[in-house]
Amino acid sequence: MGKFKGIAVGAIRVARENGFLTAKVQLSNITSSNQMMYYRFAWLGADGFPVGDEEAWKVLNLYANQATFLPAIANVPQAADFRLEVKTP
Amino acid sequence: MLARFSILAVVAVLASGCANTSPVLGGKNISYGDTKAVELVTNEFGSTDLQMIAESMTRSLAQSGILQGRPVVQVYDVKNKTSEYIDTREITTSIKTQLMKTGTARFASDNTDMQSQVDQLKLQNQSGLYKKSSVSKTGNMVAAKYRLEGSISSIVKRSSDYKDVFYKFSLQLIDVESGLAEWMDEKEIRKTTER
Repeated sequence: MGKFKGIAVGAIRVARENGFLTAKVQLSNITSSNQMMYYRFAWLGADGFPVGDEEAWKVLNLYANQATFLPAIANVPQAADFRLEVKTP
Repeated sequence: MLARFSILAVVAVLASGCANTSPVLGGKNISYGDTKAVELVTNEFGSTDLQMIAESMTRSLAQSGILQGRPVVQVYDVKNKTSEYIDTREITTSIKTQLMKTGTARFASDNTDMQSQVDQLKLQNQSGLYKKSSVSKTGNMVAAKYRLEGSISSIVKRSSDYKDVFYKFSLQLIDVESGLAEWMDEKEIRKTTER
C-alpha cells in the first residue's frame, strides 16, 4: 500500500493459543503530534491466500511518541499467517 | 472546408464522450460503498460499531478455550440499555454467524426460531402428510449447555464544544445447569463529535 510515514512497526509476536493464531504487533507514533490511523489484519492460510472474510477497518488514535500493541486473534483456526494493513488519512 | 472539418471534429468528440463502456445503468449520485469502511456519518450507533463488537466478542470467545467439544449454545437477546434504537438482534446474529464459522460451537434454536421449529415438528409428526421413515421425531432436540447473554449501555455527555458518546457492550457465557458465568468480555467504544 506504500511506505509508512510517521508510524513505525516494532516487535511482532505470533502464537497459537487454543487452536487460534494470535498476533501482537507493536505500532509507534514517531511524530510529535497525535495521529489517527486505520488498521486491520488480513489472515492468510497455509498457502498464503486469505481465509475467511475481510475484517472491518478499526480506528487507532496514537498520542505523540506513543507506542502501543495491537492484539489480534484469527477468525478461523485455519489461519497460519497474517498481514497488517495500516492506513493514515 | 474549415467549417466542415470543425463540424466533423465536434461530432467525433461528442460521439466518443457519449460511449459509456462500464456496465452501469443510471448512477448519477448513487454508488456502492465499502461495507468494511469506518462509518462516521453521525454520532449514533453505526455499522462499524456493530462490526467491531461482533468481531472482538467472537474472537475472544472462540479463543478462550471454554468451548471444548463444540458445545450447544443458546443465544438470548442483548438488552439495549441505551437511549437509542439499536437492533440488538443483529449484533447477536453477527456473533452467532462468526462463531459458527470458527467451528467452535453449535447453536440451539433460540426464542425467535423456536416457533418455526415447533411448527415444523408438529407438521411432520401430527399432520399425517409425511412418510413415517422420513419424519424427524419429536423428543430428540438437543438442549443447550450454555447461554449467551449481553447488554449494551451508553453514556452521553454534551458540552458546547463536544458531544461524547461512550458505548459499553458486555457479553457473558453462562452454564445453564450450574448457573455459573464461565466467560465474560466487554467492548468499549467512544465516539466524539467536535462542534
